[in-house]
Amino acid sequence: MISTEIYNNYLSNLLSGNRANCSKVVEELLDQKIPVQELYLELFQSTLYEVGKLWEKNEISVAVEHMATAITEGLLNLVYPVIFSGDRVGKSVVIACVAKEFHQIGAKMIADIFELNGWDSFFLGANTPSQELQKMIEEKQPDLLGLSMSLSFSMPRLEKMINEVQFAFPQLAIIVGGQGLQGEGRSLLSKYSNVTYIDSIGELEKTIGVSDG
Amino acid sequence: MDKAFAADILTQYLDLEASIIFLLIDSKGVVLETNQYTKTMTGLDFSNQQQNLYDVLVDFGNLPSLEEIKNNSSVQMFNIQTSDNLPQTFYFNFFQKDDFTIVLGQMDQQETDELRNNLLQANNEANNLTRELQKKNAQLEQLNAVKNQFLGMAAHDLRNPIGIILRYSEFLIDEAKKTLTRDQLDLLNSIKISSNFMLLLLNDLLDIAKIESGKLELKLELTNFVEFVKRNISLNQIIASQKKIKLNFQSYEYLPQLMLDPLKMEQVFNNLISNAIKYSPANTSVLISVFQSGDYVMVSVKDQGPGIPEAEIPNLFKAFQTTSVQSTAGEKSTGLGLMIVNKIILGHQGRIWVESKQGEGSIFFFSLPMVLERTEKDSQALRQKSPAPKIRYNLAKKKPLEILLVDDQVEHMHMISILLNQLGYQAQFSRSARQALEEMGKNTFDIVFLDIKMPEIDGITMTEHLYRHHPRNKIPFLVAVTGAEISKEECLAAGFDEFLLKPIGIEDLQAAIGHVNIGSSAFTGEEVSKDKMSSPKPGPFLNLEVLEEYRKIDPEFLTALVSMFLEQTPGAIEELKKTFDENPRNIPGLVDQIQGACENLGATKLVKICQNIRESAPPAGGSEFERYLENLETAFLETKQALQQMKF
Repeated sequence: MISTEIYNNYLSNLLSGNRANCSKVVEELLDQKIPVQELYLELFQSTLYEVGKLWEKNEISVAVEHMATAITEGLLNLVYPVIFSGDRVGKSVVIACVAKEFHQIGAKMIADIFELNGWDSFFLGANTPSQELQKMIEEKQPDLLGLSMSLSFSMPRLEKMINEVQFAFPQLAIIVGGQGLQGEGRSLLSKYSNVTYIDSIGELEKTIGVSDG
Repeated sequence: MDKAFAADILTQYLDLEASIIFLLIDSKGVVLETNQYTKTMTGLDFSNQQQNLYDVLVDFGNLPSLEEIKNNSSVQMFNIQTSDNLPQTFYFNFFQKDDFTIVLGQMDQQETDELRNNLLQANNEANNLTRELQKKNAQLEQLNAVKNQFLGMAAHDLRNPIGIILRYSEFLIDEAKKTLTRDQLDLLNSIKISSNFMLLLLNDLLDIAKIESGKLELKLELTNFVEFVKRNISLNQIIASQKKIKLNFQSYEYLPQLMLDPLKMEQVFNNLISNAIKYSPANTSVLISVFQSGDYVMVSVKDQGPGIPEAEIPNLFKAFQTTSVQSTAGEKSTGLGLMIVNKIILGHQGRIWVESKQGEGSIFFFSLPMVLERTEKDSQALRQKSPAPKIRYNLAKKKPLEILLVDDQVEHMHMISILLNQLGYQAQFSRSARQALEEMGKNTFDIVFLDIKMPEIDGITMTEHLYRHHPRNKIPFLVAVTGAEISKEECLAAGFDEFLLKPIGIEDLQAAIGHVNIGSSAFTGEEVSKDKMSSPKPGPFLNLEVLEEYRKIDPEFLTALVSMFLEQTPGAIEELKKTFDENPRNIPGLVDQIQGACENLGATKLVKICQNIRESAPPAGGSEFERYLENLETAFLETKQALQQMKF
């Protein structure tokens, strides 16, 4: 459990662009062997949601929002030695963002949660062109595909990607998630078989457990 | 809205809020007025008209003249100096009127946005690549661990068959050399040499597999480093002398003791010294130096070999990187030795390096910290160890002794002899118990270092033989030298006076010599009959009068009494231990029984201890009682030894 004091200290450093101080907070938490899920949910995810809200309320500029995201992305690197050192379960997943979307951090955190659960995750990053995605699936032959959509207006591109992937790889199970699916978009997914909407990291871990078991 | 009001607002906005460079300059370019943004961006002090336009702009040596700038009506791009030393590009317009010019500059917002987007994308990609790299690193580490496991298993499983090939080839060479032709013998020798080399290689591979998988477990011990080095040098004397190479040693004698793993460090010394020998021509010398440098002890091994080509030095401590330099007597190299050495030194928090010039030989240096970071357990061991005794290099002058070394292993005997030389003694050698007994028949010795494990007659049997055929006062001071195959108690019970565990250090020898009473022993082969027992030295453990009385009346009864005492007392002491834990009220009765048996035999020291236990009223507490029991056990062993000396 991350204390309010640590959280506020981290957030104020994140908003003022003090990367070194943010790094110190994360390093100290890692030294204390904080569970990675807790770090991701209670620090990285919570602060980024708060940064988003501050931007929406015009309390911070988009530049500050970009800076906070960039700092957080850099801090994920500190966690990788922990994430990648665990035992493997012999399953793999390809994670990608919908084409023309540049917000990748959420999808990346999901890829990391897969790693923590022993899966090998291949993260394709922001703005994944459909062709590149298919090439990766062909090469890695994953057990699962994860697609992230941050903005609601990307829904047509998400549907196009699902259609293309299902045409080429009909057996491949797909999970989708992201802030862009918080509203109506989710209902449009019901028509696809083998596509599951995941709304939180907790639910993702349950799903992985089911797939695994 | 009136224009004057609007102009005021605009001026005020330009002055305080707008992100626009504003300068009012005179005909010479001197800045007369500016706004807040310009002051903040440049960090310059514009008061008192001390700045010029050219102080604001970055000059790469190609700025146009002031006139050219002012007369150019199109937008001009210039860089300005900023307070954080990151020049910024602005697009300037110059508006001239009379002797004054208004300078206005702004950034290209579109360009800035593009830059930001590109940076964000680059940051994303860099982070994604870092993630991929970290994942690959983790995968490589896992693969490396599997490789090490495989290497270890393969090396371990191959050792046995290779060992068998080696031993059988040796066996064949020994047993069948008379029936085999020269060619067949050569073939067998090749098999032996190759399998020996393979065994070396496998041992090195096993070491590397252990080290690489993070299993370099150092068993740190407080060690007298100078003595340790000397011992290691002496171990290499034989191969050095075979090539007529002299091993010299120099050291700073007052080094403190070091915490090190003796076995691992021995590997380091063996490797460096044997390498030096391997690449040195005959009739040269190798100098091993030990000295202090700051908080480190430095060791150097210097040879007079051909030196190492400069290009090969950086790879010297890597796996399978053998040098192009040829060994001088065809000795082989696994290419792993220096890598292992490097890892061991690093494990001791030291460093190793080499200085070499072709044609001038090589010097391998390594450093060891004077105080290694210790665990609490090590620190306790350090505190508990008493300071090392001072080595008396002229001991032989003060205490001249005739010394005999008995050991079937020449190299071990040689090593003790070198250490004795350092104390000023010259020892004589025997390679078997039979040879030693002959030698002792011809010459007088004060002290005999006797190896326990020898073929034909071992050390214990030889000692028993001495006691059977000679009175105690004619037997030299006997030191058991053993590789832990027998306990100290067993050696003392067999009649040895001192017990030394291999590897033996100079302090051990000095301590053993310290216990020798000059002139108290030595025989010259004169056989003494068993029943003479002229002057037994039972010490304070036995009352001789009691024993003599028994002997006179009934010798057989005495023999039976002694065997009963020797057989039953250990059990009675054991019983006493149990009683203390289970039923302390029975202690007095048991002590009385033991005391009675001891009184019958005249075992005075044991009787005294029993009395002490009985007199400690109320019954002694745990730790005190344990001390009594320890005394009782020790006194029993001493009494047993005294009885054995008296040939019971």
